[in-house]
Amino acid sequence: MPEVFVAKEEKPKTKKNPKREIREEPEKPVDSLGFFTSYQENPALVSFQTQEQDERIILFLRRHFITNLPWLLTTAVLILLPIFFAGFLSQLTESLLLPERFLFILLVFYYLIVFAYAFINFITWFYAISLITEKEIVDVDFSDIIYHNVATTKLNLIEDVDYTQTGILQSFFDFGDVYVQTAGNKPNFDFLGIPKPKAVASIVHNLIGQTNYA
Amino acid sequence: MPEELSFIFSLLQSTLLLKIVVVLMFFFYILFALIVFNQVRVMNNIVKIAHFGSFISLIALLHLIGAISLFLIALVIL
Repeated sequence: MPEVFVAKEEKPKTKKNPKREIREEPEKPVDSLGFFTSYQENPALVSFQTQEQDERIILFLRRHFITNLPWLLTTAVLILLPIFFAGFLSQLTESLLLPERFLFILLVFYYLIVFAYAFINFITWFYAISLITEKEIVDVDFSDIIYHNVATTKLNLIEDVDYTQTGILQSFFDFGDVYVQTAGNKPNFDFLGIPKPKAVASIVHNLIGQTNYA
Repeated sequence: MPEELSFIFSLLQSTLLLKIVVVLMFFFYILFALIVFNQVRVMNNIVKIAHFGSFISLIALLHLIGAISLFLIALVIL
């Protein structure tokens, strides 16, 4: 008898094999930086001029944000100063027979200078960074607007690393100084006021261990 | 009357002198703002820190524009 209808044999439904995630080597998580970040392991979107193609940045460092407190307080005082001396300033302009527009212009100029003071202090902090890569240590120094210096040293030239953490403030906010001693007449690297100095010293120590044994 | 006139004249002269000093001061401030802007640009070439470099550049540019505006305002209203 001819078969009118033959039900198709239902193949056991199998889910499409999801692409196997072949992880030859576990990649280190990369974290993006915040605007005020002072310490970041495996930072994303950070690079420097002399960086090689395959050179990965392991650690991003800059002074702890709390070290900005002195100039932040000074800025706050400078902002409030003309408000406290408003009466005195108006008396002064009257006694000197100066038109009020002079006072206005000079006041605007004063606040522009205060802004510049804060801005320069901020960028001095912002651009003075240290980077530890797989191959070298990069120290970018930026101060007094007209001075900047980029110092680098290969990891195999590092001889010793130590750190200091003194005072209540440094202990409370967990920041301190890390000193990297280099071989020969190469200048030493001082990372001052950086967060987690113990961890930084440990990372550099591990790296120079790897480099020396490689 | 001549005494009053000389007083007004000396006052005008002192105001004019003050205006020159202030305008000169603002001019030098523009140069300073230019240096700041240039340094920020140089630093952005040396290190790239996420996308914050362009934001800092923008602030430096606004500072420069502020300095130029103040100079021009001083020229007009003083």
